[in-house]
Amino acid sequence: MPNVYDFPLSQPEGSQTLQEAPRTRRRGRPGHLDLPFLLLTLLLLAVGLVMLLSSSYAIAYFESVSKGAEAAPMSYFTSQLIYAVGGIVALIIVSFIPLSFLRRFSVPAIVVAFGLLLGVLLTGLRGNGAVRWIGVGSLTFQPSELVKAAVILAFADWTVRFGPKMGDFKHGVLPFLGVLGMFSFLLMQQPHLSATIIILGVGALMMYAGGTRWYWFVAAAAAAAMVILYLRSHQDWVIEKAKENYMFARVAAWLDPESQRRGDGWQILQSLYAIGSGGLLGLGLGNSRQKYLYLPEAQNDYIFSIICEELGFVGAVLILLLFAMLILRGFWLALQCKDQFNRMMVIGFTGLIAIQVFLNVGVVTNLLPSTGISLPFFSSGGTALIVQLAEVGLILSASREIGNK
Amino acid sequence: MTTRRTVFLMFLCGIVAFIVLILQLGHIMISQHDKYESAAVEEQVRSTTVNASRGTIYDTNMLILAQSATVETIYISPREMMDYKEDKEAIARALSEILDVDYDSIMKKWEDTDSWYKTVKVKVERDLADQVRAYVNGGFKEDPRYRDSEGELSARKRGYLASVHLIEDTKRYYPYSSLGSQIIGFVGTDNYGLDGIEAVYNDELEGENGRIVRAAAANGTDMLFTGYEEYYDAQDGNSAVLTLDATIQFYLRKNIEQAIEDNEIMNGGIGIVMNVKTGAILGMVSVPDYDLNDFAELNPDFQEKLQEEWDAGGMTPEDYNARYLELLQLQWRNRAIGDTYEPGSTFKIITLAAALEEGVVTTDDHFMCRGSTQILGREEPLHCWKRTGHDDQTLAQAAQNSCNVAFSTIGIRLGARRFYDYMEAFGFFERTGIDLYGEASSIWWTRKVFEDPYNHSQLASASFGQTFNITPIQLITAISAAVNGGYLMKPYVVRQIVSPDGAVIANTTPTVVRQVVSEETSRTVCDIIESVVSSPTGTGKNASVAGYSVGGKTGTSEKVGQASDDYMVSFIGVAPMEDPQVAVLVILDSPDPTSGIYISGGGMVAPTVGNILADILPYLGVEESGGSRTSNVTVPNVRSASLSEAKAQMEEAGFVVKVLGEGDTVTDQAPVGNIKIAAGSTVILYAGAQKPESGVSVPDMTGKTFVAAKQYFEAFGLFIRTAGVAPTGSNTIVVRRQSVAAGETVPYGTVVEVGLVDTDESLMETHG
Repeated sequence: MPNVYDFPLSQPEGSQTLQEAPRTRRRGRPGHLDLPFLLLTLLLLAVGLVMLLSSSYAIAYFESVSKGAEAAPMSYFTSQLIYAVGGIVALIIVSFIPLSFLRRFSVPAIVVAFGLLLGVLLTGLRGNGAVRWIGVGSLTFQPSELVKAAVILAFADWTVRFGPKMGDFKHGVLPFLGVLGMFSFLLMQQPHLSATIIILGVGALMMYAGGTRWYWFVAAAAAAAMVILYLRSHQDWVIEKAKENYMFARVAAWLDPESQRRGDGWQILQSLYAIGSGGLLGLGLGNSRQKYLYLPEAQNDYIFSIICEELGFVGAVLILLLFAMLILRGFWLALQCKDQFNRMMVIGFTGLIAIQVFLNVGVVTNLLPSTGISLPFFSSGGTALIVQLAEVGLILSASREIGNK
Repeated sequence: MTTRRTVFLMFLCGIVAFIVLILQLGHIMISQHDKYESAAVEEQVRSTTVNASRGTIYDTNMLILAQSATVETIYISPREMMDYKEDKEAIARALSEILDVDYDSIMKKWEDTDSWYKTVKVKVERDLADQVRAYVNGGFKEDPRYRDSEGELSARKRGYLASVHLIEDTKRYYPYSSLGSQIIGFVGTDNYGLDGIEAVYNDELEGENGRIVRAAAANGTDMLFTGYEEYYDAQDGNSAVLTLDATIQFYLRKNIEQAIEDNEIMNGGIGIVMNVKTGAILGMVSVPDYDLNDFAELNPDFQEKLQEEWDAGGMTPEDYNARYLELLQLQWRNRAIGDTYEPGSTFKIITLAAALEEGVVTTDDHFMCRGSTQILGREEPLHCWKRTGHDDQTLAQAAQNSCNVAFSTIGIRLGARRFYDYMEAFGFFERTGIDLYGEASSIWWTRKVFEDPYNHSQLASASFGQTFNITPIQLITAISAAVNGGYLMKPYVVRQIVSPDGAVIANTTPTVVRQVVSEETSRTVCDIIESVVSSPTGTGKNASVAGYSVGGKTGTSEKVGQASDDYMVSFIGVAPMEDPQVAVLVILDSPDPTSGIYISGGGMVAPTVGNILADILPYLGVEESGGSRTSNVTVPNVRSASLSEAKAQMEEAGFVVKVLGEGDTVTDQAPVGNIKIAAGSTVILYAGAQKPESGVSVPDMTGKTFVAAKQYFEAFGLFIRTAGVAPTGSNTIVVRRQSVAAGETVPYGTVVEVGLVDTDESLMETHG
């Protein structure tokens, strides 16, 4: 077997390196982080901040005025800006942490995440009708963010640990499915469908990269496709069921937004109006009309709709291309990683970004049923932004180890 | 394997996923752009209507008959009351006080808390709306009972109420109330014309509403920067200038009302004044009428009538409502164009004109009336209204006598075919085309039946205006043609359309439909109908007007298909006969047969038309040219003039003068100056003597002759002014009513108006 999985900072030690125990410390000076990946991230962050200002301006204005307070149209933006600065600091700090240091926490991270999810269920704060947050002082935190990171960390560790055994069911499927099932169950108690989907997606991605047999994925994909086909072909039944069941209402809103205009369809309709209004070149930066309280969450999950409305097809595609380049660069970095664990970590976090972008844009364009998934680097939400930038820091940390021999 | 799988994921996440997303975006943003954009715009754009001001309706002298003014609709928003926790009791109390709306009804409206719009009152006039506005914009803070402190943002702090709103609207005003009501018509709550000129000329009058189109935020407020607003100016409506003259309309109605009262008419009356040369309608009255400002209310007479019917019992509430609507329809009805009737003898003018034009009669012809005549195809002999017969008559005398036998002879001479042709030519088979809605069609024999060579009965009866039904407007239009030189005109009511800034947009030019008879024939007709009025034995003599030559024709006809005792009495007058300018047609519907008044057009309606002409001819500036009638004359004011001069003035005015006192100057006079009294009255000039200050008890003069009444009143120190038929010395002229009731005490020298009627039965036809 060719020695492609060498640890970059260790002496070449032959095929043994595959089973090398995690290291706690990087020897010597840290290498250069990957500049293209960093720049793409910062560029997306900058564009994201501008678009956040535009999309949140009207909402912030009306929120403050309706409370009788002084108009504060910049409130979302300034808050996001502060978090962005904090996020960049976190990114830089994290990028100095060797991933091998984190590897030892893979099991504790799962345990902590599990504990936090239980804690949320028992004591959590209510938001959007679901319990998702826990608070420490004035800070609030979604444990699901930690769950995603914990799953990536654990799965990276385990796939490397199991190595060729990933091919059998006992190693390649069972433990992963067990963890995913447990977290999915807990998350659905909140309920938090979007986090569930993301974790399942990232988990599957890492299982696939780690060597799980391909037919498991074909089977899962076939099952999902059958469900979707069934729903698509029974639209009337879904719309009928939607009257009593909120999940069906979501699906009905996806299949036929007009049928749920007064309910779940409203938001997706407004999103389509915004996107469709954009046309080729858009209404111009700052000129969105749908952001004037027509499109709920225009500054958050649906910020991409406002981007489409203001910047048009051309602008929206350019931003998607930036994301695509970031993701391609991420996978390219993964391919460059000498360390299998690092590679799996990079695949995990890059895949996380990819899944979130795809789901977010898929939802706002009604390609997928509505779930509350934010757009990385764009959507309003301070702690999530810090977490995302820190995760970029992890990828960059791995990139430091690529060039050093 | 890992590398291959990573590359696969790289391809899936970095390329395939984005191709899918970009395709979906392209589908929405490019293919379906128009669909979503228009849906978005429809949602974002709010359109506010700017009401166009409805055009004014003027009479011919630019007096305003109908005008729009801005009013406001006041509505409440229960939803905002809930959102802002405003004090609904206090607001309801205030609104009910200002607007005179029931407090409980407002409280009930508050209950629908999902509603943003509950109307409290529509068409609120400015001053009241201003009071509401003042209350909403801070006035409520003065009310110590007002409490909203629980609200998130107190109305007190905000300074205005969020739950009370005003919006502008317009309201139509009719300054002359009932004057010309059926001609002017009215508008509905949406300012759309429903009747009369308001309806016929709605497109001209209503203008075009403007709009303010703006993009608004979902909460209705303006967008901050993307504010997009477009104004479409309201185009105010044009104004209509009528041919109707408010003064003539007033005189017409006043005299018809008086005739209805004097002659105990049961079903109201109809009157038309037409410019015979142009077909312009100068006045058009249909009694009963209604107050345009309250068009949905019954007029006071009808209210009383309905109340009586209700009080009589036997009426269910449904009956009551049905009857209410029936009476409402009746008062809205313009009977001058919408009802048909049998014209009777007034129609003889048409027969005369046709026969003269065809040369079947000349003014030298003589007609023998023995009271009845045999008609081919008719079993019973045809009777003249005067059973004893009119004996030998010239053509003019036959008209003066309104002789049915003579006119049936004339009709038969003309022949059914030509007669029918002339009916068509005079426009009796088609609507006149006047610019008003609701014109009725006439009812005639078919040509086939009419022209039956073995039966002349239809032709004979039609010759004096029986066995067919026409509208009043058809008759006056045809008779105008007979006297104006032969030209059938198209009658019209609107003479001009004027833009809001006063520019004339359209003028109505008189339309000649066709020439029916020659000018010579027309001249002869004029001469003959003038003699009907001027001849001392003419049936139309009561229509004579002092100073003017008047022509005319009486008419009395049974109402077809109704109680046999009901008649339509009518008179058509034309003046001045040297050069006819106006025609006046008055029809009274159903004199009370139990009143004891002799039912005839000559007795009941001729004086009315005479009075109308006496009122409107001087007003129209028609020069006096002689004529026979003298009635009331203005008493000159001669106080402090020298006695001799005063005497001369009084005598010149046609009064007899009596002087009391020894002085040289007039210290007082009875009656006072500038008041109208009967010509030939004895006026008293005081030269130093004192006018008595005691009151006079008014005697009952009804039933007395005019001559007796005048002498009696003068003896009491009262003066007489006449109305109704012209006061002559004839003892057939009697007082039917007096303006001051008998037994009432009035100051010395008071003028009492007496209504006169002519009881001379020998000259009045009953049928025809």
